[in-house]
Amino acid sequence: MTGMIFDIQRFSIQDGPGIRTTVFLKGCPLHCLWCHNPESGDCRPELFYEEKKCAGCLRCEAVCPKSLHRFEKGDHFFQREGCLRCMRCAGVCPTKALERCGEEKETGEILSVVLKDEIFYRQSNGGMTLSGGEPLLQYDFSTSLLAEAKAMGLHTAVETSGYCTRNLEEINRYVDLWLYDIKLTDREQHLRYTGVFPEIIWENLRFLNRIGAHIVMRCPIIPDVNLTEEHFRGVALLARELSHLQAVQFEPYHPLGVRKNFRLGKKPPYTAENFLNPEEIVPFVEKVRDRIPAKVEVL
Amino acid sequence: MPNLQILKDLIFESDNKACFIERERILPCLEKKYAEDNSSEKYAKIFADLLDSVSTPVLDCDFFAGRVVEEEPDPGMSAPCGVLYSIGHMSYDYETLLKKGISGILRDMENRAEELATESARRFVYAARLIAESIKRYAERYAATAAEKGLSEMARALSVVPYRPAYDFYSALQSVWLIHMIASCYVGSRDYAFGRFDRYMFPYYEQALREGKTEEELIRILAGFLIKTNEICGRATHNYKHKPIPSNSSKQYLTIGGDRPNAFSSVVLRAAELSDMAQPTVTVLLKPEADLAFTDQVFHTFSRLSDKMNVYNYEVTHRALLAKGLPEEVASDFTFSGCCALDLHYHTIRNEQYVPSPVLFLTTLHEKEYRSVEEILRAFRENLRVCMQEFADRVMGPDCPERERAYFFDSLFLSDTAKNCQHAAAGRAPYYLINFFHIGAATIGDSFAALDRLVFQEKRFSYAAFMKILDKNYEGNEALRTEIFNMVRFGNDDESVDRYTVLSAEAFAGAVDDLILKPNFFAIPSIYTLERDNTMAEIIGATPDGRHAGDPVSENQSPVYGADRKGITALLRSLARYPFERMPAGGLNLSFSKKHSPEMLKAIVLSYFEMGGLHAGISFIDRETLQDAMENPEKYKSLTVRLYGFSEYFINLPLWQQIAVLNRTAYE
Repeated sequence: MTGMIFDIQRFSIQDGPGIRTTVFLKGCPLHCLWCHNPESGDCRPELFYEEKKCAGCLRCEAVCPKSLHRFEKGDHFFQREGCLRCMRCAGVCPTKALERCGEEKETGEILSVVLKDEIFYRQSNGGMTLSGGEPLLQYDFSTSLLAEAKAMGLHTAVETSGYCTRNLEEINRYVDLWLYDIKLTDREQHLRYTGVFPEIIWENLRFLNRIGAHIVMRCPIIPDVNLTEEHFRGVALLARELSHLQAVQFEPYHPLGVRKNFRLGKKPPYTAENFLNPEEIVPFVEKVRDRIPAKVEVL
Repeated sequence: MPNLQILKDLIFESDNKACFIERERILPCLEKKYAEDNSSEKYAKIFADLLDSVSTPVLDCDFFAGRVVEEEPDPGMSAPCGVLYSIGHMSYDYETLLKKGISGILRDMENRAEELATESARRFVYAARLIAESIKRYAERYAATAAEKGLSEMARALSVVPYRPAYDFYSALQSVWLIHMIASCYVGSRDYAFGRFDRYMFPYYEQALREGKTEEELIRILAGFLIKTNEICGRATHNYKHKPIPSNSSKQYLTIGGDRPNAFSSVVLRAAELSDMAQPTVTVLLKPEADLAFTDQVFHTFSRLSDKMNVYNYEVTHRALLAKGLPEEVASDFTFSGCCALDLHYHTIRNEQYVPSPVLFLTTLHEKEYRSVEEILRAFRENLRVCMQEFADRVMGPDCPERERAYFFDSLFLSDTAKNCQHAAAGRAPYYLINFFHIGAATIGDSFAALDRLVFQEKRFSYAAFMKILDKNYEGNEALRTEIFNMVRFGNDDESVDRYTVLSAEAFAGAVDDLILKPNFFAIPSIYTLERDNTMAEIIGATPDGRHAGDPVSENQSPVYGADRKGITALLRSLARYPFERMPAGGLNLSFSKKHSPEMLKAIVLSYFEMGGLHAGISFIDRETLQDAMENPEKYKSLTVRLYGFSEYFINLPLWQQIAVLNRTAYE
């Protein structure tokens, strides 16, 4: 079976226990304003372009069927409108100024990369994590990939927004750990900042808990969006419902998505340029720590 | 008990301009005094006179006696005086020193000389006695000073050691220190190493526990000893702020672990944590399954000390030495002294050559028009062999300049030469080691990869045209350079590319195999640059990997800076492809942008070793801290970074080297 992925990142140490390889699946039903992987939203392959890497070799100009690459006095002008996403230009670019983002891959092809670091997983109790995008958007592919990984003895984790209309019971058979994003706890705000209402997400969370799944709640904390006492109280309330919760992890905002938006030719919708200092989160965490029946961490 | 902070402060306040002033004032006079003396014991007479003349200062804060008086050189003084000199870079047989004392070593020599009944043996022993007696008098003078100051334990120890055997933990350390200091500061050279420290100190540690000392007490005493090793060169750096002393910028090395780590091995690590100074570098020979608790302690300490220690895969080096034909008792005895260079513990002196591999590679390329990588590799191997054979012949042959030098003091503490009344450099010891270091391994490997693709496979350039591009230093071909830089290069776990670096390393190892050596000489090839990746670079023309003439080549076993883009696991898989079983020394420096837990470091290093990896030195590089240190050096006196094969104070480095450290690939 094939699926659309946009990256395989080795030595991931923030996406579950130990040393892991994270497979990033392309396509996401949410449109979070601060998304740090903006290339993950669209289900189709996209084209990255980074002007400063261009060596001016003119090869893209020669292969573009729509003549969208032009060079004037050594400057490279790329007009995205009308682009067929044929990726011919990315294929000939020697400096990776133009780069394809997103490829159909067989599960076996992906696992052959993942298995390269098998020794590291064994030494660190690590494994494979699916992230995205939203891995559950490619439910059958994700299930197949996870099942094959489990059959090979790998520890598996899925990082998800939880927005999925399929029954999660089947996929859960092959998931050792859910890294379950809780972005906002206010219904209206959830719609405003992510583009969807949260009911499906919360129901899936409760369902996974009922069937005994191992869950870590992951809560991105975004300045001016959810760095509020109400949100932290909301997270604590949700956490108290979950008998199989292993931990709640608060992740401070980082601006790495801003540059990627520019490489995609998009204007970033959220442009805060500074990393949120984890220490700014701590006072909020301390107020709810006692109300959360699991380990609480600020990453 | 030592006040550790006072001892540390003294090091940080030390002056890099100061020299061991008494030595420099006395030696020129002795040189004149003995100008007409052509006897074989001239060296010993000068040594004895020097030791009898210098002061024996003891400070109130000293816990071990033995320090040299340092002041700025007098006008016109050209320190250090070369009358007493050695090449250093060796590990003495401290085990025998502690067990028998100098008197016991001398007695064995006298018996042997009687057996040999030769004039040279008789003269050797006569000179050795002059030296031994002078050390005895020197220690006794220290004992008297200590007694005057009311330091009774120190006074008692020095009335016994190093002349007679050590009798407890403290006296053993005192004995080692006095000889180590004389070797480094009086006889003179850098990088005398402490060898397999946990092995020879273990009996004294056990005895101390039996006598009721607590482990915490012993750790504190040992930390005092470790801090004292920093006195040898103060805060001087390898290639910038020299001290005008014989042991200029001498790094200190101490090796533990191996096949059978003991209870004291972990104690050394805990003392090193307490000391937390740039010296000594603690080298762990790790055999993970030998002692699981010790392995855990290693990574606990590693996560705290980072650049101040390093870990070798014991099994890889052990197997490589056996494959070289060394007997088990010698092969298992190895240690590392002087950065990442292999040493046969106790046995004899060693030599080393930093082979100018990139220069020889470019020479090879320009010799003719080749038709394949294989053809170039064969010619490269032959050019390497010729270069190394020339060096080996010099070391083995009658004209070896090192033999002209004395080494006499060294000969007393190297077991194989001492017991046969031989000079260490006379070439008659059973095991001599020559380390041959391969420089710019990844630069050469990436060059082979680029040549193969552009010239032999894609045929975009004729061989001659590509050589012209190199001769013109890529002038007018910047787009090509950029393209080459963006090719997959060594360090990204791509076997089809890594193989070029591996093949060129194998050519180096093969050239060493081809050397014609005397039966008691053993040549060890390794991948190691020291600072030659920068300093030698000035004479290296443009290389086919897109590097401009004069730019640095790859450091140690690392990829070219910035070439590894797939993360640390990919890097380590690439590195594990090196033929370490044939190249069992040298080093790898890994930089992380933030601290890792002991468990994570353990997983990374043990995975690497399981794949056949050899060595790991680790730095935690926080760019912001380093940048701030460059702007506000006074705030960062104790900040250290790992450089080549040792730890250096960052603020003492020259600007180009600070920038090089900043530019290392740092893994998140």
